[in-house]
Amino acid sequence: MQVSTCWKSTRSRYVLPIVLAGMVYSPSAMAVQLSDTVQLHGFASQAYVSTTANKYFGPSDSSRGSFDFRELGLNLSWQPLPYLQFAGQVGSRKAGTTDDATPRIDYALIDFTPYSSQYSRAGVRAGRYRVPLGFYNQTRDVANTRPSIFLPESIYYDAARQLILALDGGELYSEVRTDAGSFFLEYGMGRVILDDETKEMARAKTSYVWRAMYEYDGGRIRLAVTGADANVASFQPPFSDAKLNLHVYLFSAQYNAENWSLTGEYIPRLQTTLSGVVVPGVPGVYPDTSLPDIKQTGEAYYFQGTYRIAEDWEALLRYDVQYRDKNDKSGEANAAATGLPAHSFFTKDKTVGIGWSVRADTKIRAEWHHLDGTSWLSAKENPDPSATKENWDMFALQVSYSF
Amino acid sequence: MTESRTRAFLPTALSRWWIILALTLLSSPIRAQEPFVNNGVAYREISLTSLRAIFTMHLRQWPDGKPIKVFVLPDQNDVHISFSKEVLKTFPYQLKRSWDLLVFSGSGQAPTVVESPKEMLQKLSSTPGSIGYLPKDYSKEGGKNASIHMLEVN
Repeated sequence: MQVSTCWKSTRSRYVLPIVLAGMVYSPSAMAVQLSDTVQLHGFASQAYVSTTANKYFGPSDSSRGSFDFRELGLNLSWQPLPYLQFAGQVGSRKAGTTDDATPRIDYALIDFTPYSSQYSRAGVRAGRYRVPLGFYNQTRDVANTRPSIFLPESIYYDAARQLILALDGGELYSEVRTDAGSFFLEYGMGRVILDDETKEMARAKTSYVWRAMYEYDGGRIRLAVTGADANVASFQPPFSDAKLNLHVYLFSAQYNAENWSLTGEYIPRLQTTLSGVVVPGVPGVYPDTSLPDIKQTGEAYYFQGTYRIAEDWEALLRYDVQYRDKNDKSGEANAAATGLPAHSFFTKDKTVGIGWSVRADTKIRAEWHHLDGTSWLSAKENPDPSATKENWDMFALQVSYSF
Repeated sequence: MTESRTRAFLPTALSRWWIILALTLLSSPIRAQEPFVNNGVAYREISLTSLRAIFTMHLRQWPDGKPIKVFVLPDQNDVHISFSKEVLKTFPYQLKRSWDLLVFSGSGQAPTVVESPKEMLQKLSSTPGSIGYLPKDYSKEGGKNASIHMLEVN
């Protein structure tokens, strides 16, 4: 175990220089236009994470820290007609033991806009598409589109990302542009894409998402409401008929000035329901017993300010909060009921960060997180909850590139 | 008598101020950059709402159905910055955000980046249905033989 960790971090040491060299010698943004109607785009990032305790994206709590967070992606789009587009992206993500860098299809879709006028349009996307959840979910794996190295975990919960990342199905979208602002409405359904491990015990059922967005004055003010219902069914005893439902409403608001932006997102109720759990009986002795639904209602929000200090420097301040159970914010009642530490039921994350755009396509970021609680840490990376520490700090560095 | 004179004077003075104020507001502000289109594009004016929709790559067809081809200068180019701010009344980082969302979610394409106003002029002249922007003086000097015309934003 120790040997493999050592070997991994030794190997990781070479990844950063290679990624950096790749960025320096990469073709300029001009190269993306393959023809009049075909474009190629891509992204890459490499992070370094160090924590005072608890594991986040690799052995971050070791003296060396972790280099096990990197993202790569390449996409092609073809727009043979102004109202028709074919697009696909292949991505790879390494995130400690939670994601193993296996290439996968991020999206593969046909986008058809049968109705389009000067002031409105309506269309449909079919295939695999990214879930329009809040402000950042659709491009969450592209570091250059994030406001920070890590998205606020309270809302963009990485440990549950397979339930909110993408859907295989279809999506209707419409847009109305007026002098008083633009209105966008999306409605999608489909099945979530489960990872290989989850696939062995569960299958995706039809999930739903909708988002209504309003943008005033070219995006000076942006407001959005998202509703999402993710459904997964288990087929492994004793959960043969069990269904997991994630039900959420997300409110998003942003103000954009020339040099600064303020962003806030809020989930008043994140409802997780496990239903249909049946304890098998013994024939002739006692019958099968259905357990009542297990429900948990969480709450999450963050406030974030970014300030563009100079043309290529940006500072970030954020306060990010997650409660697993909004009726037990201290986690004490849940701790008493489950034996898990109270701090595994909430997280308060104070973040300061700074970003430097080395070039238009390359960013270097550094950020410091001061944390109280461990609710969004991955159980895979921290298998023993009683071994986690309530108060911890995290330092992270990231180089990111996109074209 | 005095009273009625005062009454008569007041609206007159007010209306004078109103005229000056209205003229100030209505006279087109002096901008360094203007949107230009290929001469094949039949339109001479456009609303700010539509112009924004074109440059955020949401509006892809001219009203007559012909495809729109968008050219921009690099994000950090001064001409791009002032066109974004003064004409589109938004900021380069907002445009970039719109393009990134389209490009990395598969729902659209980014505009074509040209390296200089000179190249912009060439591309606009030679590409049917194209739109871009140029410094006003540049297009006057270098644009005598160019087959482009300005779009009035209203």
